[in-house]
Amino acid sequence: MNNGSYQAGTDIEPAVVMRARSGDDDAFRAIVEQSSHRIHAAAWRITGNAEDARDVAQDAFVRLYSALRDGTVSDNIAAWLYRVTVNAAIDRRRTGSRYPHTTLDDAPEQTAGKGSRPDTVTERHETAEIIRSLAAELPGKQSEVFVLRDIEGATVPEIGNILGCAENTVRVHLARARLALRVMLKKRYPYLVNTGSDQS
Amino acid sequence: MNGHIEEERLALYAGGDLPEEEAVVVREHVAACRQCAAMLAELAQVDDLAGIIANETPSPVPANFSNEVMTAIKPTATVSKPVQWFQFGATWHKVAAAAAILVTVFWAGRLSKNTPEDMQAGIETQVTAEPAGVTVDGRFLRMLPVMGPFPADELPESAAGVYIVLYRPQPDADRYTVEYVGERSSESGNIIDDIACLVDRAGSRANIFIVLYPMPAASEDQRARVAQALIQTYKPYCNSGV
Repeated sequence: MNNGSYQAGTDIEPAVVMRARSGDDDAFRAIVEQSSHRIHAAAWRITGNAEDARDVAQDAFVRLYSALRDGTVSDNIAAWLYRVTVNAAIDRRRTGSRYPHTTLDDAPEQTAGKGSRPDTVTERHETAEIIRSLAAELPGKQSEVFVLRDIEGATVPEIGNILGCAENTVRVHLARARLALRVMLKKRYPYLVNTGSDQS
Repeated sequence: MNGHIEEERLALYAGGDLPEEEAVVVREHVAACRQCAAMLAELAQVDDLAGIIANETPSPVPANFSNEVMTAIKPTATVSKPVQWFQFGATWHKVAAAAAILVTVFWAGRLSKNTPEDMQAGIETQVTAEPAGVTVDGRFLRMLPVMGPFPADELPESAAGVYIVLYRPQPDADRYTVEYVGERSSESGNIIDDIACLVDRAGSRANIFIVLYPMPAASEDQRARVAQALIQTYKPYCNSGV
């Protein structure tokens, strides 16, 4: 299980939010600087490349600016921003990157740990891309929940907070997502999932 | 249970997401059931494969990222008028200049096999050479006649027809994504308030725009068929029942 990547993030101080809502650009910049590492990292893990991650992260902050000004969001900023980022990154993955496909030179550094079953950097990078693509093919909420839990490492309660839904609902979507991915992998990439199970 | 653990429970157990009292039951069963053990192993592999991404080191935040964001927000700080569209009667918006999205839906006038008494419409969508400027999901469409795009709260109240809800994934670019298609009668209320997904996806009401294909004389069934054709074409996220 992935209990690593997700960082809930310290929420933005209410006073800073209020100043940003009132048009204080310095306050908004402070929000960007406080959150950019976390948001950019999430966008990168889902899109799989630096250029799309930059675009998605930038768009998320631009949307935050609008939402603060028109009152759509006023608290729990960190969760709102994170959810917008995850959705936008999944959308970008779903509709296709605007940038040339990454080459082996762009393959990210891998750390040791779980999930290192494919043996080479190339294989692990390719496998990561397969998982990203399949996750983006899942229906809306399943995709969001799978990304948040199994890629980002958020817990079920944290996902409930981010998405604004009950934990049982999160579990339902998560189970369905994992089952769907198992079927997709067995059908299209059987070499990645092969234990001799006869069930499909 | 058919003598086996439900697949959903196995899927949750594989990722460590079952409460302990349920996990104990799964563990005991799997120890004695080859079929469930095999499925669990596959689900655990799915979890492992996702973990590959978690172990990757993301690229660093670009050095001037904050400056780029601050530059990008400036166009949204000013009010910009949406592109004006075709004229439909004297009370609607005037004909646009270039750079407008057009979507074509033709009334072919064919009779339906099922209800020959109705004035049924054949519905065809035609993708033609793209006009300048604006794209919707990468495809250029033509629609005639059409009203809008209106900001979310400016759709005329008694306008009956099929509406397409758009938002801009990049608020500073003239590039729209279809997020919902529906039909409304002249008595329908505010569209945006009825569908929670819309603001969720767009980020804010200010980033929601509505195009209306007026069908003042059509029945609900006829409006629904046009809407369904557009839904099948665009597969809008908020129509998927999320």
